[in-house]
Amino acid sequence: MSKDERALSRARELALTLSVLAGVSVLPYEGGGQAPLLPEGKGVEKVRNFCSLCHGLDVVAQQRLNRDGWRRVVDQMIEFGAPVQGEDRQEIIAYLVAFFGQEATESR
Amino acid sequence: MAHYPNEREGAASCVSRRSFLFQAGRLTAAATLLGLPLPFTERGFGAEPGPAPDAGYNKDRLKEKLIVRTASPLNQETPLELLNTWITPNDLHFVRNHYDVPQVDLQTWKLVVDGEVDRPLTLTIEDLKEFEAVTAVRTLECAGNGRSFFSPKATGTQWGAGAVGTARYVGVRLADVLTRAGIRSRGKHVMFNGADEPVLPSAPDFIRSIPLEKALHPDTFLVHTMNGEPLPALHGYPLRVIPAGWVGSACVKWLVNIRVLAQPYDGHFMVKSYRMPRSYAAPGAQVDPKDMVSLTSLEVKSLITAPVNDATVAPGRVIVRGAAWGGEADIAKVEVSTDFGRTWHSARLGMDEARYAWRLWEFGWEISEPGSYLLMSRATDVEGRTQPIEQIWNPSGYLWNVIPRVRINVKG
Repeated sequence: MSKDERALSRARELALTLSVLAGVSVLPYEGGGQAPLLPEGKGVEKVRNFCSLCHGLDVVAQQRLNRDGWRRVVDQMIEFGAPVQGEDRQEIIAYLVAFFGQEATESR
Repeated sequence: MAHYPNEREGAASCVSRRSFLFQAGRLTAAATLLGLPLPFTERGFGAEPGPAPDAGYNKDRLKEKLIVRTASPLNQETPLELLNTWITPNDLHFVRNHYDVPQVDLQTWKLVVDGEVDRPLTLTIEDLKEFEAVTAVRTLECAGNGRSFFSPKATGTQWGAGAVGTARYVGVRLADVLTRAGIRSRGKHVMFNGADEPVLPSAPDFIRSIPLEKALHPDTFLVHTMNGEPLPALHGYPLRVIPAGWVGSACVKWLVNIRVLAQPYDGHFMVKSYRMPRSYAAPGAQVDPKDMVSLTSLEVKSLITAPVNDATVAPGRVIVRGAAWGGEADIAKVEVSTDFGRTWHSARLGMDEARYAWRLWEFGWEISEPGSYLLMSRATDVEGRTQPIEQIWNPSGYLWNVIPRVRINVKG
């Protein structure tokens, strides 16, 4: 591991910890749009914090999936290393189904 | 998984500080906003999570005229009306990334060719240019192009129809490089790894493999030049593989390692992604992974680039334009319907043509009656395959190629 990689690895570790502890939106970047991509609702901060560790929130907001679909996506992200466990997982899936389920409008 | 402990070494050593700073910037924004001390004091780290301020980096980060589908990682598609030339200029060519764009330093970059070979190679760009130069025009299309039109919705970047483009590439034949390395009889597949890396090391690296037969095909190139320029960073600087006519995901960018394997590579992007059902699946069905096969060639397909959807035109002569391609197969004909599919008329194919490249086409439509019309185009390849009337559904929304429709208003 190079010096850069070690520093980056530490930065990521810190950001992960902060996101989990803070419970507030710490990453202002949502993918370029002016309006917030994610509507307010129970679980929105967890979606913002965990999902934006690796990618913008735009790709989240453009999906329209049923509960099974969202569960598969979230579990795939956990398999990839997203530090989401237990109640957080349930809350994130519930938020995504509520706001980005198959029946959600396209205007969002 | 194939276990090669030093799989990532080549990738890490040639990536410059700039992409590192961008990634770290995104994460350190969190610490900065909370007023917490950072665990390092590298110059240039700030609260700004966007691209680094130096011009070259910004230039590579975003194409102004394209639609941003996702910003991080960057995925951009071309508005269809701009796909009106046989060669797509580099600033209009679609961009598809799985992770952040690595900024490769040519001084330290090298390509390692290893695995089931008699003589592993380590090549610089100058070494590569000693192989016979080849040049060709190729159409590249993202496998997920058109995903947003699937119903029910498929997971992934919600592409419209513009994740396709055509460029003139210069490079060398992959077969020439592999032949110099000497493929052992066990070697049956060839794996490609680029310098891009996931944000979390626990996420899968983007690695793909293709069968040896396709790798040794004389039309499969390693390219370093795109439309007369060194490959832009967004397109894989300094080297990308193009298995001619195959889906974009087979065209791995920022190559650092080519490895000959005895079997297909078995990482995530081979066994979970870029696969579709062997046979037709019901819309919304869950398909058993053992009934899925890896994507290969692009499908036969056409696009209407003019007029644009919902355009209003005056009665008279309307020129309907577009492009058509068929992956490994050449286009035989394109037909256009202006009456809801009741009748079809041959479009004139453009003069410019090349194997594995799209053909432009146009059709002069004489219309005197005002009204709301549907324009449709239907491409057929030399093997007789034609575009379907109804999209064939698959779980991940790949290879969308249904007959395209453009609604226009004719108004006096």
